[in-house]
Amino acid sequence: MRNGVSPEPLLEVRRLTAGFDAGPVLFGIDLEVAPSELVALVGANGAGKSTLLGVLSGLVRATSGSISLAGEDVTNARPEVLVRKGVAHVPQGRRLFGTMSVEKNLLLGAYLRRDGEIRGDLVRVLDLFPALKDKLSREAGTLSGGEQQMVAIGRGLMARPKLLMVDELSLGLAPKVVDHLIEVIQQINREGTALILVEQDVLVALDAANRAYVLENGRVALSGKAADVKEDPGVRRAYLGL
Amino acid sequence: MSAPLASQLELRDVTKRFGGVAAVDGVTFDIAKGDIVGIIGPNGAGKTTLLNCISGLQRLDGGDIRWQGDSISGLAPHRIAKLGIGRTFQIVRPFGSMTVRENAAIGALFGSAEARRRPKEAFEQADEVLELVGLKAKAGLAVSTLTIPDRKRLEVARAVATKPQLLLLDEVMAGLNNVEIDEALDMVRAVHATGVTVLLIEHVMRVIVGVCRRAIVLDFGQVLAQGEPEVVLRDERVIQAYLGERYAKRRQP
Repeated sequence: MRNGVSPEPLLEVRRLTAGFDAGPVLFGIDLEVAPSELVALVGANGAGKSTLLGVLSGLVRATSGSISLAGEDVTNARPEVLVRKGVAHVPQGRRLFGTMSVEKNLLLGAYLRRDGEIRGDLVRVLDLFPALKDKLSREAGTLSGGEQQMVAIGRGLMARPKLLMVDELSLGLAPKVVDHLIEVIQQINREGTALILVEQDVLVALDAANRAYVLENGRVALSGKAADVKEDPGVRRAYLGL
Repeated sequence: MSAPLASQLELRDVTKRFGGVAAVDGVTFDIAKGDIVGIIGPNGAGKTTLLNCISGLQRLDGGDIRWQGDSISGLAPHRIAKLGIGRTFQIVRPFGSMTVRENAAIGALFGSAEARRRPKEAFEQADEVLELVGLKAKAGLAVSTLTIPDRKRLEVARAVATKPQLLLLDEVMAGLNNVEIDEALDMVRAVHATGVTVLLIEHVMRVIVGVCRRAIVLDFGQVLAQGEPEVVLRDERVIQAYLGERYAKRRQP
């Protein structure tokens, strides 16, 4: 690994542009994620972080540029194709099916799989989140915010992703719960899943990640080792409020 | 130090049960007129339920809530709003096809004690409030075009437009980064400076330490600790139940 980037990235984004009817949001994004990396994506609200995750999971169309996954071009591939190829998205606000059971929510993450190891993966998810073990039959909407985030991450893992993208892990969660979830995210990463973490608590994200990208107005304003980004004077002033 | 403050809101043994679970379990505290108080505590500790009890969305199963000396337990939410208690919601639901100004005017038209005012007056009130929360330049925009921090501002504007004496804020800073939080804190200070008492729920300690004179920690529906934020955040029980060891370490210089 040089500077934390391996020679053959799992995800390679080149000069990506995308937007909505109201106008473009992303203007030529370059980004790489190595197979074993935990990458933080930070920036102000409206900078384009969630839009970028949307493009990476096929929910928002790229207007130009390219996305490749493990060497294969997947630009504007459909969401279900990207899930099959190993991209899982844990959306902002969890987006659970609130009146369905926790177990069904988790199993929905494996909806496209036809292999025989789904139950085994469910056991692994419950090992990561033991708090969910005795709540499998509960309606997901009745769980606490932290537990709902566990279900959302678990649902993503049930797709057996190579790349897990988590949007706003800490939103509305108690500090202690955030720390616990960060530890679990790091464990998932150590066990071989690449991660993109979008986070408003920039300090938490930079402490957890190997590398970081700072998005400003739809462009990459800064990227590098998370520890270096954390010391950048502009970042300290504009995001950390130090 | 400011002059001694008179109690405006008094909670006595407030209890709310869902099934067999007491979500709020015998909570007692006072909020003084002109104070800014933060409520913190683990997810599921009963913070939002407590706000729902105060604003009348949930009926109490026990205890009493007194507002300026009179019991408001059992009153309907709109009556409580008209008595001068305004609130925001965690999940904002503005009228998406209407402008920012129209959304703020709705608070003035329907929420305040002087309701049924003429639309012209409601819009004047809306303009004042939008200036206060820093949305004046965006008054004519459709709500759907607003960023998340601006949507939170609008949520506060809608509540402030009801001319509350007490404003209840439920996680209006969630999803903001530190710099956006600092800007939102200025907004809360501006509202408070007009004489409004503020009771807010947040998980972001920058908010609690930044504006609150007092913090109340809820855990399992009960008051675990209360006092000055800096003291409460060093309380070992609060670290155990809520903040976690990592947070406590990060705060050390």
